Amino acid sequence: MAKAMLPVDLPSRPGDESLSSEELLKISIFDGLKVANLERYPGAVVLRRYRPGEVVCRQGDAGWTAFYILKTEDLLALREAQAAAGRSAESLADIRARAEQLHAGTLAAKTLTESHPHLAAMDTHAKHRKADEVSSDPELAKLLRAAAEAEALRAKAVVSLAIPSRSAARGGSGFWARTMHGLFGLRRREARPSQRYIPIDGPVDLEAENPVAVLHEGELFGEMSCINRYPRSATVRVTAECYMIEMLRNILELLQKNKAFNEQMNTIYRRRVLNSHLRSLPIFNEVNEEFLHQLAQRVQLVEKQPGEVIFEQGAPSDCLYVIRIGMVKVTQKGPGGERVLAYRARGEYVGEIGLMRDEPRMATCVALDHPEGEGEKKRRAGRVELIRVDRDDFFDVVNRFPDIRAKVEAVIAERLRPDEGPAAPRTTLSSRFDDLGLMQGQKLMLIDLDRCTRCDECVRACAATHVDGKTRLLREGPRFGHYLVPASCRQCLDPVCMIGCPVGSIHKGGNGQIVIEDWCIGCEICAKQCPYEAINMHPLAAGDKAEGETVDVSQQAAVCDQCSSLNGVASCVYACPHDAAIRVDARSFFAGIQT
Amino acid sequence: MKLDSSHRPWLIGTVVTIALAGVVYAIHAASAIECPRGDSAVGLVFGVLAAACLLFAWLLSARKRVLLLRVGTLTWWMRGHLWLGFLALPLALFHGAFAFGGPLTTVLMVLLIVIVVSGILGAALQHALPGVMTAQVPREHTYEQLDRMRWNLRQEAYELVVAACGPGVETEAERAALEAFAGHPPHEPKKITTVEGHQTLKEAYTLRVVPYLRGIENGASPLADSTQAVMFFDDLRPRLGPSLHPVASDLADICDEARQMVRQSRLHLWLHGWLWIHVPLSMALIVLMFVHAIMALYY
Repeated sequence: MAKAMLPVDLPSRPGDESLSSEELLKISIFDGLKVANLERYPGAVVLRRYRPGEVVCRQGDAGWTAFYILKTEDLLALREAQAAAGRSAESLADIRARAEQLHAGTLAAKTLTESHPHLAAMDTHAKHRKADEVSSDPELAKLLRAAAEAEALRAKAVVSLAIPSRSAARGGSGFWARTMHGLFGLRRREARPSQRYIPIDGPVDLEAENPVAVLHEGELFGEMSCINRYPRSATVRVTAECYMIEMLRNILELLQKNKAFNEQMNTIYRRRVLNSHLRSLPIFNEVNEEFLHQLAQRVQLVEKQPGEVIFEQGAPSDCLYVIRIGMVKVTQKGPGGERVLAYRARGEYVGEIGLMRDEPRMATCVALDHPEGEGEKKRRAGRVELIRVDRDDFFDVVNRFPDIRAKVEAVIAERLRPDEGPAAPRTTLSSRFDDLGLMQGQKLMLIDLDRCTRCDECVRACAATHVDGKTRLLREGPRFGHYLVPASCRQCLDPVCMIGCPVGSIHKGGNGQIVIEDWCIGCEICAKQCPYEAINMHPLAAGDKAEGETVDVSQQAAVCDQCSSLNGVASCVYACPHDAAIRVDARSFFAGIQT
Repeated sequence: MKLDSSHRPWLIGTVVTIALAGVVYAIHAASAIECPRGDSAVGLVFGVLAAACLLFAWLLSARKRVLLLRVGTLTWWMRGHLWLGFLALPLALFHGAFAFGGPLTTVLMVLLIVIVVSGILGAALQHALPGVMTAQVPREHTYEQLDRMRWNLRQEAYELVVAACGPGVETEAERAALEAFAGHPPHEPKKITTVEGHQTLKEAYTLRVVPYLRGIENGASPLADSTQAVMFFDDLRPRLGPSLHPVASDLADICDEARQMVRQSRLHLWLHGWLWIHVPLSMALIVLMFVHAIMALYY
């Protein structure tokens, strides 16, 4: 990842306006801030004018600022103040007319929310369609149209994600490769979970099949880049002339301490994120729109700092937490001390076991971001954002929808499996075993060097099994006794590689394997976090990039997925002619062996 | 492939098959009016069985082309290759009644014998040498990377010596070679403080270490032998200032790694070199076997 140094001032571009602290206070998100506070950071905030077609930020670029799309009402307040001071060059009449139209639309949307909440949750096009359908009720149709028009007016930009074409068969397009693929379907993509939404660094989640969404006035994006210096998770392109406030971290932190700002952002989250995020969760797939909308009104957004305890083992089970941003570490105290049970990532949930079993919490959950590291690797920790679903609401869902209850119970059964759950065996082995991190390996690859003839069939099989034709296995690594521990994903108990992915493209698959999705932006965070060098960065050929995208995603991370989409053993093991390559659970395999 | 207890069923199967075939052959030979022939019913059965064994053995190379096809692990195919390939020889001998026949069948039998013998040799080598390589080459690299790793060692040695003694006319040729390989000059310090023994170290580097690392005098160099290398560096150290002792130790370490690379190359050659005989002859055998079958059936 390109490391960006925080500049003293934001770089200037044509059309910029440097606002005084008094002028900034006319903008609603700065309500409640003190002039003195803003004056402490001169040059850290700028008002930028964007025209249709301009790109605000590109997926994968280094980023260290956040953007707020100015509301028409804010612009009006600002311009009026500037006009009073004799500064404005813009026609106030136009802005006033637009503000009045938006005001009427906002009132219509409010009325609609009170009377027909599920209709209010519809997107602009759906509202228009619905208005046509309910022509027998002219009042409702009028409300729907007014709300839809206001929404359309507030739409200012599109946010999109470039995903390399999934249908193109990469790697090996020659006659032989095509014939073999046709005959046997040999090359394959990694098993993919049914993830419908992709979380990005903005107030919306993108649909995986069509990763484009609209950004509206009054929305903030780029917070994760600003706080954590993550690369931009998506490309933002302006569709209608607008103004945006670009700010550095110090300003964003000031805002985050501001009650008015937080309330405004919470409202937006509630309206946009919760609807899509709750819908994107597998457990809520079966819930109908109306119920989901009601649920979205009742759940809470909770923010935790890394290291902060979400709930303690033994505490009453009063809610379920769904992870929106960051990671959660699940630990449990037992006779042998405290041990890590799991790390849960974006989209997963915690606290369901205690709720379903009506028992106190069986583990402690701690908010977690990526390790801060040392030296050049030192990073500032980011926050963890959770959606809290109260006990009553949770049971409302599971009681109404038996399929959801079954799904939750299946997840609980999976999490309590002997090899993953609290009953998982512990083994004390040699210090070298610990030094090499072998205890982490649930599917550790080992090559018996007394059997291996160094024929490299395992490496060839690995390359052959992936659609890009690139191996995830390097037959090099440390030795442990007469075993070689090659550089290949060992399916760690503590998969630190999953911490900090800015676009949530790395996660655990259905078989516990690590999966890196197509929308990886090549930032290398996972590769650097993996202590065993098991994640490789593969350069993308021009043909691998999404059509029509100018974004420069030049590489993507690749990791061994244990051939989880093939039945049985991994290809590297299956293809070893000498019985030398094996995949083992290191703790049980080496139990009792002192090397 | 390690020939361990997992081969027992194959071994028993092969021995039993040979014994049964021997009994059948003996009965057939005893009851034959003349010498038993390959075109007799029993002889043909032996011929077909031998051909089937050879075909199965040959299929291993085809199986390796479709690594992902889930039609039995390669370990299973390899065991079958070893034992059925071996079994083909006695069956072929029974088929030909221990006679080589005409020119084509003579060539076939000679090929088969060479292939089976080279296969047995290869199996023995692949049984024994992996363990030897594990023990003797602790710093093993991927075989294909060995050339590059040798260059890396040369560069490392050069940078060590130049960092300690400074560049000079003695190291100029090596510098040029490294630059030509890497496309950029090796790293050199800007300022060097001359220390006691630097000229001696430079001479040892230029006259002994560089030629050895370049592979010019692999066998003749004292550095090619670990005992002589220890003596060489033990002799060198007292002639160097104390600050150069770590450099000498690092050079000794580099030479040790280079020696391991030479050993690895040699062992790799033994592990896989026999395949240069075994594989082409097997291909020729399969082709000629079909020619023999067609000719026998046609005429």
